[in-house]
Amino acid sequence: MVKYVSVNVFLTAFLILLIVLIIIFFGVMGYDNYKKNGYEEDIKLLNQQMVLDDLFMVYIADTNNIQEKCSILEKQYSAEYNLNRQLLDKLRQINENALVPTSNYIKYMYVLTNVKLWMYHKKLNIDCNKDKILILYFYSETINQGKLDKIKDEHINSLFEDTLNSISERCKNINVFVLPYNKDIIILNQIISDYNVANYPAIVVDKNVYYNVSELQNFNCETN
Amino acid sequence: MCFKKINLFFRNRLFYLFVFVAIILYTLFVSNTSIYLILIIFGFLFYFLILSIIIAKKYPTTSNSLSFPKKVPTVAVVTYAYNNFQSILLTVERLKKLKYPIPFTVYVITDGTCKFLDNISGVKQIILPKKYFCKSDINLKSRVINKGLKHIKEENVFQVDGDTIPNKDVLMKLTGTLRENVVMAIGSIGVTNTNNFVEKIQVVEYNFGFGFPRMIMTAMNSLDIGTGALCLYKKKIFDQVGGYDVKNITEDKEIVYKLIDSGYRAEFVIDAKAKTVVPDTWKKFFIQRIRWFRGGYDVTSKYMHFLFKKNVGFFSFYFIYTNISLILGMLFVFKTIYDFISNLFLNIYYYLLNFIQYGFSFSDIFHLHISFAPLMNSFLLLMLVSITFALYFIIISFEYNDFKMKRKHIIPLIYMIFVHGFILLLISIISIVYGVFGVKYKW
Repeated sequence: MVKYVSVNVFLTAFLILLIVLIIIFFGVMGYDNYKKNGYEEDIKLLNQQMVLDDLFMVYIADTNNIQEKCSILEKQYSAEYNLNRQLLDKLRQINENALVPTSNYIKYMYVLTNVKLWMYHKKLNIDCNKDKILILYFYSETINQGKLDKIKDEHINSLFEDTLNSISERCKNINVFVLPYNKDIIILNQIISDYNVANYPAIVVDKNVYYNVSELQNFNCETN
Repeated sequence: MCFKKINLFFRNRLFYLFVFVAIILYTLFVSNTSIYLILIIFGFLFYFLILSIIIAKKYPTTSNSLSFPKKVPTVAVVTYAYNNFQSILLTVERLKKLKYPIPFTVYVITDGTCKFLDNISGVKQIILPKKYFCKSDINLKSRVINKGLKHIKEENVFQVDGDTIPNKDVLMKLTGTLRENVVMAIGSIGVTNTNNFVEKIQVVEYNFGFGFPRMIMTAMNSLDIGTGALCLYKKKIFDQVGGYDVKNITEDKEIVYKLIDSGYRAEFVIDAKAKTVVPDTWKKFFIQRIRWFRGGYDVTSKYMHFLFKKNVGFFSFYFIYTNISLILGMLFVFKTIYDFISNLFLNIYYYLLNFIQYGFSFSDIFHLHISFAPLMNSFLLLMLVSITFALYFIIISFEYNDFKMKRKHIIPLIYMIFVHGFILLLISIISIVYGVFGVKYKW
């Protein structure tokens, strides 16, 4: 005699499915969060370094050995700069691949850290008479926009990044600070208005703002 | 009657339109799929897999043939042929050799052109007027069978397609299943022609999809297809429900819905086996599947009242579940295709625009923006879980169908796992579009 399935089987299947879904849900969330936490740790590490820099600055403020002071700070800053660039790459990767989006906290902290680093480098240029060319790159950030705008932005961003990469390869005395064109972040709003950055993407070198990559084709490593 | 017809016509169009609009709205207005939505859809689709695995373990003999009844029912073995179709001889010879405790007659419904059948003992021709065999009539089979069966007096009808070769013991295996309200028994179909890639895919597909899932449906008392190529049914009940619907192109599916609507059931018998000829080109395959999908959707829209029908057991659940799964599948597939194509065109447009404006080489830009992301990510995790489930389901399915994998089946199997479902859902979407615009049915 054929035995038909009872309601219990349907319920059992539903229970198993629920367990599988819970495992997957927490697995996926846990995995993504684990990675995000790793990035948060990176940021914390960077900030610890910066606190250390501040302490160093205060401690060696009175020293007469300017050369030693500058050498220490330059090493510190360039290490932090590299760390922050790596963090940017990681953030991009998680944004591309993860089901769980990156939290605003990490992005916000990344931006603040980058701005702080830029200011340190600026100060280093003045105090230690360095000739580093500091470039601010404001990329266009697609938030709540359609796919068309997103792809358009990606392409135009890629053009700017491409140009900056080729300049960085050519000129070793360049540091690029990548920031979103986001006026909601107060410090960014301040920089944007101080440098009269009217549009995005934009590249700021000294007091000059470039909106067209073709203007940077013949970028001079020495004079800019 | 006229009102009912119009009502059905609009209901049908409305169904197609509803699915079509759902696909378009989802594609255009849902830009980001959150993890919660992904999990809900994932869960919905995987419920059937989990259910199947439990049923396979708990009710492994559900679709085994039942003992032959003490009182042997008379049976008419029925097939049809027209236009001097010589290949029917092979089928007829096999049908004559079927095992059965009492003598039976093989009836071949023809248009009178198959003279070669005249002198074969045990074979009777039922000659119908030629108007029943109009080649352009997509409902030829249902018209011919309905009309031909009027000449038959036996209790049971064993219906076989002209290109289907059943095993000798098929009748013995199927007959026991007909009992009380189970009025139709269908067998397991394999593939005769296994030469090219399209045929090999169908070998794997038939062994995966046409055995085990039907056993699961039987266990759920929800089998919803009659397999016109090989089925045994009680003639009295067949006549009582009005026979095949001559307006539906998947009459074997429609008849089962009609039977369920009248309180009867169909069941699947795994060890009643036969082989049939499958489409040997992609074009033929495409036409066949469009027909299956459109016929299926016509049946769904016709029997929409099953959504609320009581006393059909789990069938209402099954009806809702399969249709929602299909629609969800179509939403995903269409959105994926739309996103892929639109992204491709937009990307090409901007590459060209940048190239014209700034003269950058393509290779530079491509190099910057294609990231292979070497780290395993959460989406990949979800995919891995899905593939593991699917593989397990396929293995059980093959085992159940007694299918021995050979080397020649490996590539078709890989295609089956990663591509076939996508292609089928694409065909399903096309059939929805055909339905919306009233494209003519094709056989």
